[in-house]
Amino acid sequence: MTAGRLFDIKRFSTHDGPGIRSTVFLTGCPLACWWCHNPEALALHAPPGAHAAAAAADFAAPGRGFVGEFTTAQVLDEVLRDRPYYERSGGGVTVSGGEPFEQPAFLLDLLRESRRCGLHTAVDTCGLAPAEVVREAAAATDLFLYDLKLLDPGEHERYTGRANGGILENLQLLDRLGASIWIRIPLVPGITATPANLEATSRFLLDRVSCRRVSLLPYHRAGTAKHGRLGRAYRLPDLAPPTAEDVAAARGHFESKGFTVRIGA
Amino acid sequence: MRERIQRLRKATLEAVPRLSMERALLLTECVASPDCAREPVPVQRALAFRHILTHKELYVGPDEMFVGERGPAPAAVPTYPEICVHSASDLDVLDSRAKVFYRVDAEARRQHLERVEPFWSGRAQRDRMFRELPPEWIAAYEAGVFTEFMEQRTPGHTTLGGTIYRRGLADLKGDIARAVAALDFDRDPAALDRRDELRAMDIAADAMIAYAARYAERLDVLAAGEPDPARRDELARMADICRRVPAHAPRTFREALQAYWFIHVGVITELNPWDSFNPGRLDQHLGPFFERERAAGTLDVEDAREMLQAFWVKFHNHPAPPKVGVTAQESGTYTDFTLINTGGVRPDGTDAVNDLSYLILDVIEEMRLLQPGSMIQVSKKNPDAFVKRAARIVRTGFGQPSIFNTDAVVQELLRQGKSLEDAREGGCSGCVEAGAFGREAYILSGYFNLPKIVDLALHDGLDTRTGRQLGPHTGDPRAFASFDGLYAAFEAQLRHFVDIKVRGNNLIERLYARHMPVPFLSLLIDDCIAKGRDYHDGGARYNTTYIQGVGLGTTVDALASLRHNVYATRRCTMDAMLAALDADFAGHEALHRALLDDTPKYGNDDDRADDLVRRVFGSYWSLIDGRPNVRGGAHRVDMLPTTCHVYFGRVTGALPDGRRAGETVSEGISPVQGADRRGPTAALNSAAKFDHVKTGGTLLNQKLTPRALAGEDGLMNLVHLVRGYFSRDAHHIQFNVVTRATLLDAQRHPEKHRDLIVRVAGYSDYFANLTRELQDEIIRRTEQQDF
Repeated sequence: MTAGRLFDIKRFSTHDGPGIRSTVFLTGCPLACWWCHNPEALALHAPPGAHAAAAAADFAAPGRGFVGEFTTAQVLDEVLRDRPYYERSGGGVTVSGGEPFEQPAFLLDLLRESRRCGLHTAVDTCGLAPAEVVREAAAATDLFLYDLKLLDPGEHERYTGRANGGILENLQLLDRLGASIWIRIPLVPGITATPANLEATSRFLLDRVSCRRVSLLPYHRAGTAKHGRLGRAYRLPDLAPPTAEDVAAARGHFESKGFTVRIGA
Repeated sequence: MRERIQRLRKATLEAVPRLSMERALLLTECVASPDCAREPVPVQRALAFRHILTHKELYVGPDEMFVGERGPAPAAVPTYPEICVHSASDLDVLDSRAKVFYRVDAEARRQHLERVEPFWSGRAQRDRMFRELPPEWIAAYEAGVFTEFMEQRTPGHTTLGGTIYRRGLADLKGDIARAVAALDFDRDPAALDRRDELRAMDIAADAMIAYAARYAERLDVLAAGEPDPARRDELARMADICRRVPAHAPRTFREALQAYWFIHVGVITELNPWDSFNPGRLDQHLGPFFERERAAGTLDVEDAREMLQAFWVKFHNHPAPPKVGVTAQESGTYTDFTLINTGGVRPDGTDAVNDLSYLILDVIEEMRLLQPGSMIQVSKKNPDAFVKRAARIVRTGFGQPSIFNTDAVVQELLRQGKSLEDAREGGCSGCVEAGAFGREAYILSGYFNLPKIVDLALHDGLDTRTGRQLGPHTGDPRAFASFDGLYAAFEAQLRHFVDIKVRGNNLIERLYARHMPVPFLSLLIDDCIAKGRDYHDGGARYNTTYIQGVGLGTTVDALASLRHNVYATRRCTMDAMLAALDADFAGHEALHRALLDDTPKYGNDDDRADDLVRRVFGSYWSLIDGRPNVRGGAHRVDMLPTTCHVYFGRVTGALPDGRRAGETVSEGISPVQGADRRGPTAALNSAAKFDHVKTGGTLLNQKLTPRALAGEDGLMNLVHLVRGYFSRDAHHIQFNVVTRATLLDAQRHPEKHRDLIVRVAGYSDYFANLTRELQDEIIRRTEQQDF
């Protein structure tokens, strides 16, 4: 039985896939997006030490009982408690992060064990992972929530710290494998929510993959305070969330190309 | 909404509750007369009922479609001095208190003090009860260990079945005549008592028929003088209806509504039963009329809607009778707890949702009135579309309709010994109480303060509030070597006070049977006529006495904290815990913080706390369930608080869950306000961990942010939450859909939020009508979000 490092399990999660779900948040992430709203995913991923312990204590506030290392069995014990809600709503378990592929052995074990219990499984990923692991995960995953942030490789590297070649390849791999995929695009004003990026994104999707469902996630400032608590500088201190018009324009862009668009989920 | 309904709605919302001495004066006049005094008690009661209905003022308001008012006008509230006679200072309190007031004008005051109070003082049922009850009962009552429902209001909590829609009072008089003819004076020692009771029922039936005839005459007169031809026709038609019902079975939808309303007015005029009265399964009773007339083309849906809306206004015209003292604290609201049931199953077990169910939901949404309360029964056989329609109303944020699990309720009633058909024809009334409608006297006897029992167990039976030895000596808790030792003390205290309460109930129920029969209500409930016995004396087919547990969440958290902190982790000694409690945590801040934030709490799907919900409920249940009452039935438990959790909090000392002395305790089976932090599914899972089927009702409140219910997906989330909870045989759930910010703003600027309605506990109320403590309590409840 493998163990993984978690920073939360949220129940009654209704925006990470269909129905009522529990979302398991794994620590670790290969990216460092400027707008990150879960920076604790990185901080808590560090090997045990003074800094990680302090961060863990801070984030292990009442009601956040899942900060630290847990076995697959422990996670499933929590997740299975809401089975009656999943079964009626078409929900299940979503593994998110951070980036769940940063803990590949635990991710695969959790997905397989969840499947064995009859749960619908979803993985919320940035897509940066070795192709072999992605292939293995696809065999135990009912739905990928797949982030596409920036299509331009240079821009992607600038704002996330990594190039996007592997991300785009893995998306095409999953599509070839017949995986169900919902594309998620964060709408960060002036960065991702630009006409050029939206155009490039929709063209890539139309040309290269069969997935026609897009979720637009308007940037929000919920993560700002967390950066401060972790003693880090937030690189977008003055950035305002997109206006309703910005969101409508992005929606209109994708709808005009034949995509099914959802906002915020 | 048609204009006349808008006017009716506006008028009822603007009516100011005031006391009317009409009933008290007529009652006193009749009972004081020698002709009445020589009769047996049931006949005296029937004569008083007849006297009131014969002489009370009739009221026909502009635009009204249905007639009959308890007082001389809407919101003119009678008193019931034969039950509880108000003192001069009671009248002052009623008139002047800031919330839930009743205006008392100088004339009413004079009439009461000169003619009513002198006659009834000492003879009222309340005086009689307090003379007869033993000192240990009085001490526990005064300490706030339990309350007593029958001290100011009478046994009710009953709901009408389908009889009156098939048979008129004239038909019931035929049943009475046959029952009298069958009396066995050879062998039945109670034959005379039965004859007296049946005679009283017959007088009561005649009195109601005559009351309807008075209305028919009045409506004829009004029609003759009415300039508007449409209204003239309508008044004449209403007169015809009053000549038909309730003497004879109704033939139309409109007659059926008027028939029920006369019955309702009769029950709440005869006495002031808890939960006023209730038509119960309205969509089932009216469904056949609705469908028949729709098929025949004689009833337009919009006209049916208007009639239902006008019917709704009649309930709203009737604020609860005035309550004072502890009764006002346990039920501080104008709401009088009629609870309209829709949905559920038919007697053959099939899906009962019909077209009228949906029309009634429309009316609930459009009228948006506190009264009547409304609920949906949800069986696994009912379609999601029905639940979703109700969820749409819940989302508008006025706490109605509440949602009940028919499949659990049927099991509850079967466990109590009801027949399958009687169980399926039942439902829930009041706040959450399960009953076999039309056939059961299921009487709530009082709230029971479970957290206070922990307080007493921690102090060897000493009431820390008064310094008085209230309970038995169960030992110094410092001497308990284990949690089980402490729990044994808790159970011993619990047993002691349950015993006192049950003995008190048996005494009080006999006093009601002997002194305060209700022949009119008895006419309506099977099998009072057949048995020749009063509703208060075991005449109903089923007879249940409930004791309502309050503060389950607080009790569980307090015990879980002791087990965790004193015995398991040894964070502190019992001595340190007691010192902190006795100081109300002053100077013990670190411990207090740990108790609040680092101690297992019920409501988080955490078995370190939740296993105690099974244990505490099991103790309470096994001490009460099945104990005989004096009406041939048994005691049962249910778990609901109305507003009593505020009062019980006030009389209970600091507790080991971190709750300070005097603070409100938890309500229903809900977690302690703010203690549930792992989302609604976790809270629901905790609440479903004990067996609701063993109760006659549990009450769970959930507060959701409007965002969590946004869109079609949000509505379906609500449906799935309900279905998921009910799949575990849970009894009931209700929702407040409102943000904390809105509530805080309403507290600061009540003038801006006059219309804000919230779910309290088993009923909705205007936020502005709630006491500050109750407002704070609702604000503190966890606001469940989606993620």
